[in-house]
Amino acid sequence: MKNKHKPTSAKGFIISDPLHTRKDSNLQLLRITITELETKVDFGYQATDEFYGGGWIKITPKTFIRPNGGKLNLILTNATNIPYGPEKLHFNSTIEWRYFSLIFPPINPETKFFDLIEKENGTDNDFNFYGIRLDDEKKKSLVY
Amino acid sequence: MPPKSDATLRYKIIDECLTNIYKPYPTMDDLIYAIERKLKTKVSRETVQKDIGNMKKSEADGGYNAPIKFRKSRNSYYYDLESFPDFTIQTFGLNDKEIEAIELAAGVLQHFKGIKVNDSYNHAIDKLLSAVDIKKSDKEEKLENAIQPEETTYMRGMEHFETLVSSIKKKIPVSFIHYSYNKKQFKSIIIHPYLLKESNKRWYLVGYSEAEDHKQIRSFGVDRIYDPILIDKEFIENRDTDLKNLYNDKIGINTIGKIGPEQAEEITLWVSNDMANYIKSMPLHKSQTYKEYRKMGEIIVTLKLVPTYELVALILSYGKHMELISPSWLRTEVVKELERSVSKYKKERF
Repeated sequence: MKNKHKPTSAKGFIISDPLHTRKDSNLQLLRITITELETKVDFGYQATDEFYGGGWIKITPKTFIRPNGGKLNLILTNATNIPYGPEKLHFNSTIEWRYFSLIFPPINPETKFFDLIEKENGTDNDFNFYGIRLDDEKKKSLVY
Repeated sequence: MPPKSDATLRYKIIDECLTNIYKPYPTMDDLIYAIERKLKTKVSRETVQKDIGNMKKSEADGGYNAPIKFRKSRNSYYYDLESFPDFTIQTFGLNDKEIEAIELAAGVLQHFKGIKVNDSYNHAIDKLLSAVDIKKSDKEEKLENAIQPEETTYMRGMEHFETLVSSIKKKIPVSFIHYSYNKKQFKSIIIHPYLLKESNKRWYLVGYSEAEDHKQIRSFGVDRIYDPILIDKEFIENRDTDLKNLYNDKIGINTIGKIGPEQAEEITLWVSNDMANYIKSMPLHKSQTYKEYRKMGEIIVTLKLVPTYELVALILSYGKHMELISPSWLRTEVVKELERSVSKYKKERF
């Protein structure tokens, strides 16, 4: 049955569980929200026994997204639930987790994919995601 | 409030007798005794028979559609609860005693003030309390001093309550991030929400989950839900599942083991003589029946339930006073759990 509720205007969309190339079970890219105002990327991080006491997380303020593999770099404008480096969020144990979001300027809704780079040519410990796909069939309009 | 007629008061007393789980199947003499005792007036057998007839009448004819049956073998009356589960006429109108109960409930609600259910919630409680205060202003004692319910603590995720209720009412799918305490993993979920269910002081969102490995009705602890967003998508209606009774044969939410259709099983428990009266006065579940009363006061009770982790936790909470007899597979699980606990306590770790 079709939903009776219709949005007054679809000013953005989400992509749940977008496809990308990074293989990492501790850091999960969960959802992208693209609106006229911003591009919000939601992550989940599970502390790991790879590091004593669960380790720590932070995000470099110069983190950026790069739409369609082009030359335009859109720098992080805000981060929620995760500190900007050099400040760190230290976990108390390996069973802790963190849901956090990184906010970037808006991107063209027609964008096919983008890279999210904390440190170009960095290590596995950097929050780098290449080829995050914005497949049309996964786009779901927001209800305002 | 207009005074209730004698007939209405008699109907309510008959209803109380028919819904009394501690003394089911009242005879005509039981009903007459209960009415005379409560109303302090004589009542004839014919009057009570006429009352029963009136209660059985349809609402259009001034009755309650009461499914009252007579069992010849026991010469007693009962509600046909197989066809009309949980039937009672008490939902029709309120008598003074029920008004008093609402006053008490308002006092209980006061303890929930401050929980972030939604912006209107606290306001509604304030209005209810002030209304009740007007009614009880001439009373010598304030009821709020007479009742002391358990304190309710704030649960993470309650800030989403209003959004989730709204999505259920308007039938709008919701995207949210869920964190599983067991799997220690996040998952991005799109749900078609049907209801919010409370169990053991925790709230759960129940609905059809679109996740590839779900594709069925699932429940998600509200305390593990992050950032719900309403999305414009065709809403998948629930057509096959009886949501009203989905949790009737469960204590808690989390089923043990099996994947697939859940089946209630007969759970048999031994209860010590020290604990028997407590279990009799407050049954563990409405399906509780008594299989055996032993000379020394121990009892064997049976429950018809889907085995859940919450059921096992409940049984274990009674310690030496309760023992799970059957089913054997669940007993094995309980034994393993106890062995793990004992093994922990045997090690001097602290």
